[in-house]
Amino acid sequence: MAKKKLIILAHGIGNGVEGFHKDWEKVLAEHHDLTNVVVKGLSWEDVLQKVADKYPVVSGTLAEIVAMCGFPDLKKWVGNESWKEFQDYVMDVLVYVGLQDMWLMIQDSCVLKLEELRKDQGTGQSFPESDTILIGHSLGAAMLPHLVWREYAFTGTIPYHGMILLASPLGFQSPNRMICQDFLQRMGEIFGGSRDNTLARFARAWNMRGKNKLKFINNENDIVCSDVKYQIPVTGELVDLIPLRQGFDPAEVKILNDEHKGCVEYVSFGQRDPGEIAANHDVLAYLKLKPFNDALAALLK
Amino acid sequence: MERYLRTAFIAFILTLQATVVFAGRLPDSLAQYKEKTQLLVADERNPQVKTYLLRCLSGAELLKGLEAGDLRVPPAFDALIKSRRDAQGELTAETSGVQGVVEENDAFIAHLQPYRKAEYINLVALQEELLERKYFKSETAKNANFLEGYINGRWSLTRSDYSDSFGQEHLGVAPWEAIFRFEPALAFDHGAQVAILGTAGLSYAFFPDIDRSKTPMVFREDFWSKWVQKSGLRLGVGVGNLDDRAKLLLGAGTQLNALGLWGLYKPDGEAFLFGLSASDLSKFKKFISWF
Repeated sequence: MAKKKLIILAHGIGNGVEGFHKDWEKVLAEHHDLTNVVVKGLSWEDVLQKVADKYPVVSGTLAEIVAMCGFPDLKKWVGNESWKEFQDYVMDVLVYVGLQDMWLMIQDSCVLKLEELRKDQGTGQSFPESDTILIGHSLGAAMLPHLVWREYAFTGTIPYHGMILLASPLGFQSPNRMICQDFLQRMGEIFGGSRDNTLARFARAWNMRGKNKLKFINNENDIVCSDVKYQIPVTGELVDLIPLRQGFDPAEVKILNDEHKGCVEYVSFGQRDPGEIAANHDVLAYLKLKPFNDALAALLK
Repeated sequence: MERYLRTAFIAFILTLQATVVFAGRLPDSLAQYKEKTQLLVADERNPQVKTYLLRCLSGAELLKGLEAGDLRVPPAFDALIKSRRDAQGELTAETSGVQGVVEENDAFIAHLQPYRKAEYINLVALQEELLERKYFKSETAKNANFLEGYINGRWSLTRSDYSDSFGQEHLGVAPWEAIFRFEPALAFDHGAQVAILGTAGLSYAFFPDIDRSKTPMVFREDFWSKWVQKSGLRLGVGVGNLDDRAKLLLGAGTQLNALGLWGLYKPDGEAFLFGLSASDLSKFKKFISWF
């Protein structure tokens, strides 16, 4: 009988309710035989919320922060729903990356949650890490690399079978790294140093698990992981609604792809319409993509 | 809270189970790892990969003669991991994925990594508990503000060190916490008078020591960590409505649960006053969330 594999799904913003992974699993089941696969969800919204409750930034203050970050065009051109979603995203990102000690506590909590999830309810035994596949979306696709990298720094190896990161904001670059660290800077402080060296070491560490073990899949129309320019109605002008770098730059993509062959793939779905921001970031849409399913099929072999 | 305790408890049990299973087996595991890696060395033709494998073997020698649970195991692993990471730094995109390196890594994961992983989970659970004590286990823990959170995460005195932190005292978690708040207060000068104080202070969390001689490691509580838990001093500048006029107030105080106790000085009139402030700002947070 084939050994069972465990897939751990880590949510991003706004879809972290307990049992969130059921919808994800349904889509996975449409594309893969999950007979010998156990799918579990790593729900960490409760920790994010706990920190957000302690350090609340209510709408008024959040608006100040968002305005300070220079997003006036975004607020002007997206609908209310998308704007609200973006505010939620900024809040979760602020909580996760803006408060260093809280980041550490969230990370610790996620490490313990993952450890708990690896335990098979039936047998009481833990799934080996080498049979565990990690899949993250959005902020979850920044939390997982941090988690893996901390473990690598302490244990000298990445033990997991593979990792797929959808719409990862890992490439986001802080406009002022002295004031607010970005995701890669934090990884570099754990181990690796500069952005380029951290990315190279991270991708190379996955080589030691074998080929096709790490995959980033980003929608080029998704503002969370790509620098999208929208055409403004009437004027036809192309405007980047978020004047920050969200995605990896071409040189960084090259580093990643050189170190772990083909590990970054850009796809295009949805319309470059400010009203489609949520749809272009939708996890279920990502899970239906061929590149994702090819990557997962390779890991499930 | 219940969730955290449950998670920490499960991690603790997992660690305990793992430790019991591992007891006395480290020498066997080391021998199996070395045997596999020596075979890989013998078969390897690429000089760079061969050097890497020999460095891995040399690092593993640091565990020679040690049993799981021996106090010398964690520092030996520290040195082994550092040497291993240094050796990996010499690999390239091509050599890091060759069969010899992948198989050595598989052998490391199968035979040696579980010991280190058990220690890792143990330390992470303890570190999470320290952060919980510092930031969430006090009467006013939920009355912080974003500014405090930001400063506590940036100031070297108060922020945790997460790079290579587990060897440090308190696992890199700083016991100091900065507090910046506006607090409504009462200044007692011929009766209670309303005042508002801007306060800045530092509190100190009395953390337990980590007993590294136990497997798994546990906290070693003392009087301070068990009963006092947290203490601190504050300085304040504020305005009080004294004698129907707004008067400047300076003061020093301390916090007792949700109450601030103040010794205040009124420069205008050179008078000393006693003051009480409310540290529980949950009702006002909506309006003054920056503070």
